[in-house]
Amino acid sequence: MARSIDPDTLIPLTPRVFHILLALVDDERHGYQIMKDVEAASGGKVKIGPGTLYEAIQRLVKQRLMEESNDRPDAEMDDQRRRYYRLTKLGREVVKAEATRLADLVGLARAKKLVNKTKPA
Amino acid sequence: MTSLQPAHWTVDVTDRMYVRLLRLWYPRSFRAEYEPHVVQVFRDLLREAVRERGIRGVVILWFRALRDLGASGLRLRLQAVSQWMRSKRPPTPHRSALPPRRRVPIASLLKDVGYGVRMLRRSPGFSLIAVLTLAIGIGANTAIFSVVNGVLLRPLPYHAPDQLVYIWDRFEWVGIPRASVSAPQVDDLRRQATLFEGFAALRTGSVRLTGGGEPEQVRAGIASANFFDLLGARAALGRVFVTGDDDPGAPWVVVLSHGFWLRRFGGDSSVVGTTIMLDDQPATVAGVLPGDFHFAVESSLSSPRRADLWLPYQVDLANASRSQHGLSVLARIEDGVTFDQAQAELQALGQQQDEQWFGNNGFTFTTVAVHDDLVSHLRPTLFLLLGAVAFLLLIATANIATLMLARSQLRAREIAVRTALGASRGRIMWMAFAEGGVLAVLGGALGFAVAAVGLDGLLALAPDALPRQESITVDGRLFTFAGVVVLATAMLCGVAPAFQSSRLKLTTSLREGGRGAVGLGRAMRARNALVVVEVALSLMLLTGAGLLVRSLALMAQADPGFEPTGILTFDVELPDSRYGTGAARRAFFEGLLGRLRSMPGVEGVAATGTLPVSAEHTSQTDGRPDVLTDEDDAVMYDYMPVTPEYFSIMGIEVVAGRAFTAEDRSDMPWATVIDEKAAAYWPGGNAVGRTIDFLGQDWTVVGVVRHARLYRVYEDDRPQFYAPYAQLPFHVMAVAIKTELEPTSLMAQAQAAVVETDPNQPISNVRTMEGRVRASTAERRFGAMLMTAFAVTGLLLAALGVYGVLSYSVANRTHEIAIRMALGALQTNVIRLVVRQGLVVTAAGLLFGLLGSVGLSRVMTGMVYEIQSVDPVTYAVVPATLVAIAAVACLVPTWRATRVDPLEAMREE
Repeated sequence: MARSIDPDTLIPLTPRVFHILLALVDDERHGYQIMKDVEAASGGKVKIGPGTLYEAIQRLVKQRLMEESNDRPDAEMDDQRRRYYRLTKLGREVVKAEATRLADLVGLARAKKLVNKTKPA
Repeated sequence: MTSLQPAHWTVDVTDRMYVRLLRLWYPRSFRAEYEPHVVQVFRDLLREAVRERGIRGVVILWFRALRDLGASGLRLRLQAVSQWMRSKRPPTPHRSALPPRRRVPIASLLKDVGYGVRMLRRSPGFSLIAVLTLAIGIGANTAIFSVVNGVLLRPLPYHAPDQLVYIWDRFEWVGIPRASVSAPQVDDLRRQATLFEGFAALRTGSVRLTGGGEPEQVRAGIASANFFDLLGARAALGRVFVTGDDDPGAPWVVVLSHGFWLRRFGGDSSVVGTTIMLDDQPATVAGVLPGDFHFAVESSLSSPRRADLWLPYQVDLANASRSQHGLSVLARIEDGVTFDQAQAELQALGQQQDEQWFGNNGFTFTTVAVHDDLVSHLRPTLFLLLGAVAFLLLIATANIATLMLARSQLRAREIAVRTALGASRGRIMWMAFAEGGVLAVLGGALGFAVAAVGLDGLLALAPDALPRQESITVDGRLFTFAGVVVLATAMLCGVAPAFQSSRLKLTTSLREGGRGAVGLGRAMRARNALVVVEVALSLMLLTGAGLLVRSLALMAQADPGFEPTGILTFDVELPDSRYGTGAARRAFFEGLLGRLRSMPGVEGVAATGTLPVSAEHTSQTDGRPDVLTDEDDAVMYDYMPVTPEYFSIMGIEVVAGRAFTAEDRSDMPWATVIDEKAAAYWPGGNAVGRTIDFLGQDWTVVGVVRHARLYRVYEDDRPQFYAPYAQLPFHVMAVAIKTELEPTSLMAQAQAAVVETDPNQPISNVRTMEGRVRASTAERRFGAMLMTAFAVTGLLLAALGVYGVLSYSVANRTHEIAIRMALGALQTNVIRLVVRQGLVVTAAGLLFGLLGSVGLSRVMTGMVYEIQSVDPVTYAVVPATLVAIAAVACLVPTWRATRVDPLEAMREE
């Protein structure tokens, strides 16, 4: 299957999807871990319920942004009941593209002095 | 850790319930792949919630999980539908063997409708129940919509009604957003405003009609000469007012309403041009209004008043008193000027008046469209009722759909044959729709008839205060609405069976002869889901009704500040022609009260300017208690003269000082009794002995009484100012007779006492005080009554749904039950099997319904009296009722299940 999808056609992502993909950047994760990661990374602002999570996973797998992983990260941590997910190459490119897009936007806002580089004291 | 740890079974039940809901709601394709994982994550969350927050955590988790489940499931379902639409392939694997698809001619689609009719005729019991159920649902919708249509949607029957506005005074600093206007203000507006075609001053009153029959007190609309021109109204006979009719001193003319002309003058057209006696003064009948002319005055300030006849308002506007606020102002905005522009101009004029007359306290004018003024207070109630009947129809529809699902399963074999012979998926679906359509059309026709008949009953029960009753009729919009409802019903009834029949597995259906062909699981799930929806909706309906009923009950218990039992009341209006002096009026009431007091069974008699819960005219004026030192400060009082016995007869408690006595005569110092609200202006409420500057006099407070509700039993009123009748002898008074007898039994005697005092003096509004209290809650009682009726119907339908699903499932599982019993299952096992299914469905419905109810009661907060929207009593009683009813619905199917004879059932196979 010769598929070369341009990652730019898949962005912008919804915050929820972006967070889910972001959670997989470092390592493979199972569902509950993704959920907790997203909640922690967003400071509790983005909360994903189990149904919504797997609905998104189903879609992202179909779009080939992530895939099921067969090798377990750590024999001790492994839990046979769980399914682990990792980013595909395309997925990684899409997160990157989205991150770049957001960074560009923030740069623009900074230039207009809407955001400070450092947090105000 | 102090948090309460939930028992093990709570966790267990939570877990199982979640799985059930998930299976009920998520599409199968998704579940096949992800169900265990979703459940796994939910369990993780559950464990975490229990560990960290105990039982509270579980509750919070449920709220989140339900929202999550609902939203994601809906998205998945929509995805599945859109995917299916794209694929559009017939489900059979033998497609290549079938003839190529072709367009189905309309004629054969119509044939399917005929087929639907035949199918329905073959099972008359089912058809009858279905049509009746739908007739109730569609009829209720049509009836309520016709009220919404007539009251809220139809334009007022005047020329360009959108340009008509009312203008009110706004005294924000004394907390009065709407007050009537004074005559000089009308004159100011006429001279200064440029964006209006004209301003008409309006008020209501009543006049005594004498000559040619019984003397009669009739309701009069009193209006400037330009009033009818502003509305664009013409006379049916003679003429309406013309310029100059309202000049002070001009010969008096009167315009009769159509209804009054028919009633009093028998529709005699020669009455135009003749002279009739009103308040002992001659007035020439100028004309008669057409039958479709309706105008209600003063709706936003008091209940709408319709007029029997119209008199010109003959007052020199410019030189009348500025402190007398008693007029409604009707205005028409110029063509091409927007409401906002007109309002802006009035704002500017209001500011000028504020500077000139109101000491820069912040006076403004309020502008409101006439239609809004008339009906805006009804909008929430009417939309609530419309929502309620929509729910009712949804429940009815879900019921029919479950029945049709069951039938389509029985017909699985027939459908399979049709498919094998080349019927396309679309055609099969169309057949299911056609059947639903036939039902909906029959139900709709019957429902429309029910609505037409029911509407009269509905209006007969409606409170008098419901405005625009005359415009509640059948029109094109109502037909369109009914048509759309029927169409939607047909779609909703047909959609589930249509999908199901199009999904049949051809081979299995043919082989198994129809039984269980679709896969029991899927069909059962669809029906269960429908019943869950029914239970949820009926729970919401019940909660809504429960809140209204509770609020009514609280209203009935509310302390109105007076005691209405054993009191007969009536109104008397003394004409100025014969009772021009205070002395004459005092003499009349002294004589009348004396006669009434001597009647047997009478405990006491009193007169008052305004009875509790009966205030219609706003007799309010500002005064200044001596604590307010700034000359410009003022308090707006409701004020009324009363005779000495009034407080004791009405049961209004004196909390400080004294009530009035016979000693408070006209030649004594000005004395007032005020209510607690008025007394609150003095520190600690110590008002006795202090003074109020009122109507240009200094009145000494001699007593403080409890606040007696003047307008409605459930509304807070303004501070009250009572004066002794001897010192403030009004023309218009109400008489109250306290008796130990049944109050209505005194009517004739009271009437006789009036005639004895003055044979030419009519009285009106003879009612018990309790009747007046009831009338003041009529509107809310009406709403609560309808809502309860809808909720009970909804509950019955939902119970029927639970019953239907269970009986069908028992019938379908006879074989299974027989085997179980043959293998030694006890009766209790069988009972548990059936009851559990019923209760699970009910419980799931309750969960969704509770969520919906919370949302609903937020919407209703403004409509209920002194109830928090999450009223614990309602929330405890309503679900309990539903569970009880559902349990009853389980009884028959359960009993039937236990009666299964294993031998018999097995032999049938």
